Parts: sequence; C-alpha cells; structure tokens
Amino acid sequence: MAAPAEERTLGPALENLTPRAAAALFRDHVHPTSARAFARSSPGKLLALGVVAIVLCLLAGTVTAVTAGDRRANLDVQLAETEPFAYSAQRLYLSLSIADAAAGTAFIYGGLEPLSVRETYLQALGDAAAESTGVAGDEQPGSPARDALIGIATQLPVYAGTIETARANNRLGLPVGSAYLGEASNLMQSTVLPDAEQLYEERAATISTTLQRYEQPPWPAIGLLAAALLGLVLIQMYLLRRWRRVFNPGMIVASFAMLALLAWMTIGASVAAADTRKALDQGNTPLTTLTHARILAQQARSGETLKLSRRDTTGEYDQAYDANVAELRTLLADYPSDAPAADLVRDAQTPLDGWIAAHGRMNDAFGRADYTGAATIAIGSDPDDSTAQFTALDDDLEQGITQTRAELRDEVARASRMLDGLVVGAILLALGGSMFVALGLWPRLREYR
Amino acid sequence: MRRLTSLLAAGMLTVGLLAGCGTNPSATPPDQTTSYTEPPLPANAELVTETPAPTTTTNTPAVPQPECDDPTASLRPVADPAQRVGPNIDAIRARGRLIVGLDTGSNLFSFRDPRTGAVVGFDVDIAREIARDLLGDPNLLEYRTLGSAERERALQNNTVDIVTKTMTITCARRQKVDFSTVYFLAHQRVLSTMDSSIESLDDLAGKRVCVVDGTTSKDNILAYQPQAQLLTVSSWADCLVVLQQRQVDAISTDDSVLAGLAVQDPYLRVVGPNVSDEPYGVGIGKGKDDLTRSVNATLERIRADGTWNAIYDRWLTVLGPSPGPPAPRYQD
Repeated sequence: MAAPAEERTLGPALENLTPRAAAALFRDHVHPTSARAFARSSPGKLLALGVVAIVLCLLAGTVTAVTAGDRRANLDVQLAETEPFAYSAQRLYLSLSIADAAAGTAFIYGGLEPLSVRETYLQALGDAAAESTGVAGDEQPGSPARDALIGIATQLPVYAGTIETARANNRLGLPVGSAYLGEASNLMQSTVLPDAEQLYEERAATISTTLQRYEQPPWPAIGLLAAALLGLVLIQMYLLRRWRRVFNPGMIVASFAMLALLAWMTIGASVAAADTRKALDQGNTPLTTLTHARILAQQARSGETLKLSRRDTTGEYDQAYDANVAELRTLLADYPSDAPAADLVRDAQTPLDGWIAAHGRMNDAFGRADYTGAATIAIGSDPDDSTAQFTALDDDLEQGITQTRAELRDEVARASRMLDGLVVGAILLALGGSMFVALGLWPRLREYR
Repeated sequence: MRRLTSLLAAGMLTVGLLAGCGTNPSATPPDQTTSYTEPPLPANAELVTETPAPTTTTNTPAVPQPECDDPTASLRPVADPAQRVGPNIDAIRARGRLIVGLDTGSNLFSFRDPRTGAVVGFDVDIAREIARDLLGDPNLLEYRTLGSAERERALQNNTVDIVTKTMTITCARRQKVDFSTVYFLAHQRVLSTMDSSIESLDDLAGKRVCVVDGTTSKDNILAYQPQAQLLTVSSWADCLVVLQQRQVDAISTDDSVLAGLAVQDPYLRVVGPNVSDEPYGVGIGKGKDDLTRSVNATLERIRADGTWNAIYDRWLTVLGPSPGPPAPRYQD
C-alpha cells in the first residue's frame, strides 16, 4: 500500500503518484527477493520464454519487412525516376544526333532544302531542348550530371544559331555556308554530344549498380529469419522437456507462421533477385548496347553527310564513318542471341551491309567529282541507297531499344511486386506469430495462479 | 518502413544541419559568372603558341626549300597543233576523255556551282582549254577529287592525266612530277575587314591571323611578321568563319584564295603588297613530255588569243584588273 502520509494529502490517484511513492509501491508489491524468486519459478520462466519468442517473431518480421521494403522502394525509384531519366538522357542524345545529321542532309540539297528534312531538323532540335529540361532531375549543383546539362542547355542555342548562319549563306550560294555547318557540327560532336553521352552513361550506370546490388537474395535477413525459427523450435523443445507437456498449439502455429515467412522470404526474394538479374542481363545491358549502336549509326550518318556538304578531301569524315561503322558492326555481331530483340539485331545486319555498300558507291561517285551522283546515293530515295538503308537500320535499332526497355521495366516491376507482397506478409505473419505465442502460453500461465 | 525512412531522413537532416551550421541558409546564392560570349570554333582550330626564333632581318622569307635552278622552266611547246602526238596523248585520245585532278572546294578556282551542280572556276576553265586542244571538245573532261596531299601521288600513280588545283611549282615537287609553264602567279597578301587599320603584313604584329595549318602561307607569315598571333584551322573557308565571328583580325595567304573568300563578304577587302610569288602550274606525270609540250602549247595559245584574260575577268576581278598572263619560261 502507499505510504500513509502521502495517502492522506494526495490520495492514491495514479496521476498524483510521485516517483518515490511509486517506488515504494513497487517494493511493497514486488519485493526484490520475491521478484528473483518469481524469475526462478516456473511461471516466471514460462513468461520469459514467451517474451523471447514474441521478440523473435517481431524481430524476424521487422527485418524481413524492412529488407524487402527497402529493396522494393529502391526498385520503385528505378522505375519512377532513374530509368526514365536515363531514357530521357538517351532521347536527348539521339535528338541531338538526329538534328545534326538532318542539318547535314539538308545542306547536300543546296539552298532549296526539302521541307521534310527541315522539319526533321526542327523536330529533333525541339525534342532535344525539351529533353534537356525534362532530364534535369535533382542533380546537385556542381555534380558532373548537372554540369553536363548546363553545357547542353547553353550550347544548344549557339549550335542552332550557327546552323542558321550556315543556311543563310547556303541559300545565297556562298561556300562559307558549309564551313559554318562544319563548325556547328564540330560544336555538336566535340562538346554537346559528349556532355549528353556522359549524362546517359552516368544514369545507365546508376541503374546497373542499383540492380547489381539486388541481384542476390538478402542472405543475412534470411539467415536471421532462420535463426528466429530455430529459436522458436528450441523454446518448444525446452518446454516439452521441462513440463513434459504435449505440443503447445499456439507455439506450433507461431512456428509455422515463421516457417511460412522464411519460405516466402527465401522464395520470394530469390524470385525477385532473379527478376532483377534478368532486368540487368536481358534489359539494361542489351538496352545500353542498342542505344550505343544507334548513336554510332547516327554519328556515321553525320560523317557521311558532312563529307559531302563540305566536299571533304582530307579523309577526316571518312575515318569517322569507318570507325563508327566498324564499332557498330562489332556491337551487333557480339549481341547475345538469347537477349530480347536478338531477331531485330540479326535483321539489322542487312541494312547495315547495304548502307556500307551504298556509302562505297557514294565515295566512288565523289571521287569522280560526280557530286550530283554522290548526293543522289547519299540522300536520294532509291531503296538500295544510303537513306533507305540507314533508315531501316535505325528503325531496327529503335525497335530493339523499345523492346529491351520494356523488358527492363517489366522485370523490375515484377521484382518490386514480388517484394511488395512480402512486406505486408512479413508484418501480418510476425504479428500473427506473436499473437499465437501469447495465446498458446497464456492458459499455461493461468494454471499457476 | 515509411516511418523508418522518415526517421532516417530526419536523422540525415539533423546531421546536415549540424554540418551546415555557421552558414546562413537565407544568404543570397552567388550569381552565375560563366562567360558565354565566345563563339564556337571550327574543327581542329588551334592557337599557335610557340614563338619562332626571331629572324635577323624580318623581310627575308626563311622557308627551307630544296634548291634547283628554276622550277618554273618547262618544256617548249610543239609549234604546230598537228604535231600533238605521243604515247600519252594517244592514250587520252583513245579513251576520249581527259582525267583532271582537282578539288571542288576552292572557291573561284574549282568549286561546285550550287545552282547548277557543275564544277566551275579558273582552274576548270584552264583544264577545259587543254581538253579543247587535245580532244576537240572542252566538255570531254572527267574529274577526280584530290586532297592537297594526294596531288603528287595521283600523278605518280597515273590515276589522273593532269592536276589543275592551285598547285604551286616548287623544287621539291619537281622531283616527283612535271609542270607546265606558269598559268597563274599568285602572291601572298592579307584579307581584313573594311573597318580594320590593317593595311599589310607588317601591320599584323600583335594581331590574330588565321591560316591553314601546314601551308607555305603559315611559314611566310612567321617569317615576315613573327609577332603575329596565329590561329590555324584546316580549311580556308574555316578562316572566313573565324574572321566573320571576329575571332581573328585578318587572314593571310595567296591572293587567289583570298579572292575566293572576299567575294563571299562585301565587308572584306584584300590589302597589302605582294609578299611572295606562288607560281601555279598544271601538274603532269613525270616524263610525259608529249603531254607537257601539248599543255604548254595550249597555254601559249590562250595567252596570245585573249582567252586567258577572258578567264581572268570571269573569275578574278575582285583582285583588280587583269595583270596579263605570266610570261612562260622554257628550259630547252
């Protein structure tokens, strides 16, 4: 009972209990010696084991939920931000390349460029400008990605201005127009595109490193889960020996709940890890390859058209074309035959060969100073010539990019969904397990009253 | 999970605030100070930083050249057109076309007319006259596009009959190929803007001058005016770009090239005295004496019948009235 002096003045109400009074109350009720005795007593041991079992259940559930939830959250960030940013960077790069190739193509026609080519240029330039704002993300000031974006955003109007200077001169029939075109293209190829490439590579690498982190199931968490289950089993074996009782149904249900969670975690996380690995191997890796291939094709096309519009005899643009096409050929040849879009890549070989053949014919005509003939091969509409072959190649690569991108996103989404269920399941099973431990031990505890 | 994340975020925020304590978060961030005023540059543009050793007398060209008696002395032409015979001439006549090496990017000398698509210019007209005398029709030409470095090789490999591509006759080239008599005498001069005070090469001290890398023009500037700052690019059209973008004050090379640039911009003018002689000749394969004599006969004819002056007036009036064709020199 409470100290009489305090009882008189304050009464026993709980809110009026001073710490000292509470301590006295506790001493009266639970005497140290009796508390020690309680712990050593059978109900005390039973209660302690019950608490340990419940803690094990809750711990296992929490670790599973946190681990799976963390993975799921990071995979969702890939889907919602990282991958779209990387794709946007890729679109930015391609729009810039397409604009440059279209500007060069328009030049070969002379002062009267076809409207369709002009529109291709304007569309690509607009796309690039839009993407350069859309990919901004949340890069910190001073980060390489931010610097690359600033570089692109500030150089793009300079590029567009130089292209228009080139056009105005070209319309007047002045050869200096092609020199301005060359300068603009040099700005694009040596400054803007490397910035865009860096941006893309950085983001593609972010996807790779994140996915690589989740390629393996979370073994430590699974181990902890197994340890919790083992703890529950040991507790039951102890109870069995100590009290010679039949199996405690509550504890058994709790153990099965933990076993189910372990199985779910092992299988679910393994499947999610396999999905992640597939997203990486069948999605991100071929996607990066195909993106690189498409960029090489665009650059080779720029080299081809620039050679003609600049009437280049130094071999500078030929070397660029040959190097790009050789690398492109290697990329396509090394493309794994079991990856998605492998059939498209196989199909792309034909237009690539056709393009290289057309390029050879164009160079022969150019060598004969047959400029009109060379221009016809480079930009004419004959299905065997450069434009048609290049377009077919580019279409194949674009479709391949769409397919591998879908594969990447599908697999990541599947892994995320798999983990999503696991989070909810882990919480429910842990709570259920704890409840059954309590329900199972409560009647035993009551027997000691 | 969400709670955990927010807890973690709160923790990180606290760490961030602690780390950032001392900086005033309401302080105005500094303005962007990057300069965006510099226009782009053509590919391979490079500022020449090495300063050549000062020559004792600034007005003597110090261009190292293999020595020979007179590189411009050629073979005497055949006296009578009926005597145009020989194995090389026969081969051209059997083929029915004269194969000419040139490039299509030298404005006024050999370039593609953007409206018609035809290759035209001073050099092309000279080649047409040669075809007229050899084959009876100035249109029986076939072109091969050559880079500057390919000119001699194409003649040595017999892939072209003649080269008409602003090719300066030098002792070094004479060792590999033969030349006709001089058909055009170019001089290095200066191209600058109308509002510029530059009147000659001497005025280029401390000025930025554009020049194509690897040309004799670059060596000449360094010899005449070592204090000029050189910006080298890979084509003369690129030089016009950097002059229009005001990244250089002047361009200096052969007046023939400068003329091709000057006609594209009414605000430019060719200034200064002639500082070097650049004799252009028709390049011919070594030892093809029959062809050399025939070409020289054609050049002799167009000097005499006014064709040369007509060609000059068609293309090069931007350099002033015709100085008349250069006098031929013969070694035999």
